[in-house]
Amino acid sequence: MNKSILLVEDDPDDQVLTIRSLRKSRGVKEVLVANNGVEALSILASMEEGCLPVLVLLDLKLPKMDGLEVLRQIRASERTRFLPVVIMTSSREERDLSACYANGANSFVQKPVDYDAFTEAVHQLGTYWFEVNCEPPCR
Amino acid sequence: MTIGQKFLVYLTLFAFLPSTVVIYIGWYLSCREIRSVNDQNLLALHAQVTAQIENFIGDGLELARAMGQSPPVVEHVAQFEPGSTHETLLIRTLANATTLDPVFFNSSGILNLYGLNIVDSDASRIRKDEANSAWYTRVLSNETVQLVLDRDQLGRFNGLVFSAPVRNADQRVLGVIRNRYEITAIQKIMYEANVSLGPGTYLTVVAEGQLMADGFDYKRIGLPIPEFEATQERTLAWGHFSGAAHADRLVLQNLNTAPWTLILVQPFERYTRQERHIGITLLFLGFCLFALISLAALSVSRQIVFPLREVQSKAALLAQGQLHLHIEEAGPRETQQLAKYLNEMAARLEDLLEDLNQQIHNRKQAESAVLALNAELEMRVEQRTQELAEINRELESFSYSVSHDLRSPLRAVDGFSRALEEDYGHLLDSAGLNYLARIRRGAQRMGQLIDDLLRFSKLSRTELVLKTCDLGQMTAQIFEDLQASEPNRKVKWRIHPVTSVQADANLIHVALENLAQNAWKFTAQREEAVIEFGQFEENHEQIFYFRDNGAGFDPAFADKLFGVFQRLHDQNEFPGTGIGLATVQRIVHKHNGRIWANAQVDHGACFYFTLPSF
Repeated sequence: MNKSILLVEDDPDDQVLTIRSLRKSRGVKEVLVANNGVEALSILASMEEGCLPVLVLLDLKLPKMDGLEVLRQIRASERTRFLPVVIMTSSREERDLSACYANGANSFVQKPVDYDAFTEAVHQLGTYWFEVNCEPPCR
Repeated sequence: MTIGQKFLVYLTLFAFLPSTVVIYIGWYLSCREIRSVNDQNLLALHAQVTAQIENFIGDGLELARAMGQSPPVVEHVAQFEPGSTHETLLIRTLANATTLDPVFFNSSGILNLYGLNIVDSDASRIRKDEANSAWYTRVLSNETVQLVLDRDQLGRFNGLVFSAPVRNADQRVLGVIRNRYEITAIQKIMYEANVSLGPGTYLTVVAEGQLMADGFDYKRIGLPIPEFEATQERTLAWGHFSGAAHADRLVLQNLNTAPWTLILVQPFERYTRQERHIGITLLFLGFCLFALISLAALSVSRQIVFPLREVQSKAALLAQGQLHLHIEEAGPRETQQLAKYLNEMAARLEDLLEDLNQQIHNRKQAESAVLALNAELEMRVEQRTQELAEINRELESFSYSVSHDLRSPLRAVDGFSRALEEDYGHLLDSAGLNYLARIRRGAQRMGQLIDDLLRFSKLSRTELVLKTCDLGQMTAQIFEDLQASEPNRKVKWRIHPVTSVQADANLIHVALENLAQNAWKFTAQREEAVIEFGQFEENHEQIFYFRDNGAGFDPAFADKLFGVFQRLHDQNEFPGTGIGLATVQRIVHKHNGRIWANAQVDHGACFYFTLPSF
């Protein structure tokens, strides 16, 4: 079983910091990085059946295709309908919150500026989704 | 009542009635004058005829008396012997006497003392016994001259007999002389008098209740005359026949020389006809006068009423609004002036109307201008609203970008500082680690600042959702949270019960939180910190307050307290972004409330605010 996580993040700094934090979580074996929404979808599309990532960490502000559209596409596809998607973004706008949850986001996390708090949040995410949560059935 | 009707009434009152009275008085006076003149004439006529009759009778009496005393007659009578010369001479003397009046003196005779006719100018009467006649008996008994009315066998008057005694020188009566005149002698006088009289008027002589002479019809002599009533008036008797078909006016007087009465009869009709005639004339004159006055009145009323009517009808048209009409200034001066004033009034009214119309026009123009302006204003407001909405959208996307794009680098700064510390901390001395910590603090403060600013800018776009809020309970909860965040601090809470208000729960919570944090922060250096929340009423206004015994501030800067980024203390002393109180003020203002503060340096601060109910 491929215990991977797909990080969709355009900011290289955030990529590094997130990966650094994720490394501290025990369950995470592999971190796939997509720099934009289109790339994220193509990565998911290229994956074989049963090899989908455990979790998608999705930023909202992305070049080419924004996170909300990526979320819609994921939920629109029969293959990725149940794929856990956690929105991780800098802001906490009301409309973003409602739009994301309306489109089937599993969680919404604001990235704290404080790196300690950030690390803690990522750590908790990894622990929860990889160790506490039961994965959706494979297709 | 129209002027015409009034005019008629006044005409009747002031012209018709007086003229009628004047006409009546004139008529009455005329009638009286007529009667008076007529009476004078009647009296004169009566007197004249009376005199004629009296003269005739007087002459007859005088002749008889003279003959009775004439010496030849006395001598012949004294020495009378039938067939003697005395007889012959006596007859001749008597016959001569009758020639004095050959028409009416029909016989003269002498009676002896026995009443026997001894001689007569009328031979047929000689030797007749007249001893029973009145002329014989009266003369013998009175020995004076007598007048006796003679009658025929039917008892009708047919003669006048003057008889006188024949006396000798010793005054001894020798016989009686008898002169007989035909009654027609009187009839002649009456005739001559009557022919000059007008129709209906006549003179008549009556005696012993019978008509004696009327001058016309011999056959009527002796007819009984109707009874009449007489009234004494002046020296004459006036009267009228009783039971007559029409009233007559009688003038009657007994003759001095005879037992007769001369009656002058004039029918009242004479008067009444004359009077009627005069009345009709006067009436005609009156009518003419009235007609004249009426004509005058008509002409006056034409002069007054017609122009007035003209003015009236035109004025009625004026009243209906035909102001351009011109009333002709004709007729009497008053009417002319009336017309003139009406014309002036109409002209002025027309001017006024024009003014009014002009004003209305102007006002309408002004109104339409105002409407246009309003429409333009509305359009502008809409435009502005759209622009504002646009700006709001822009601001929103701006703050969205800010929240994203400003935080990411900060997170990188903080994150990599931490990474540096973790991975390479052992290579740094304490000063280096301190620097790293400062970098991280700066980044975190920047992040806090951004969060606060975003929240603050969001306030103005937030719609209020009013609910009943218990500020005391909220404050207690906030204090609990604060105490939990810093359990080592000793702070005394005094939360007084307050009335509930209608407010947006989320916003008011933010405001209370900021105030509480403020108080919490500035009492950090107090060993016995006291924070108080309560409410009081002033000028019918509910005022809430937060009081602390913290650092306070210089009241000179109280007005700067609520500005964004305004800070009255050093960052080292009391860290903060300077946005908290600005946020509180904005929330209070959104609730139409007021907020203010007073304080003294080192003697604490008190924040007051009101939340008027909507």
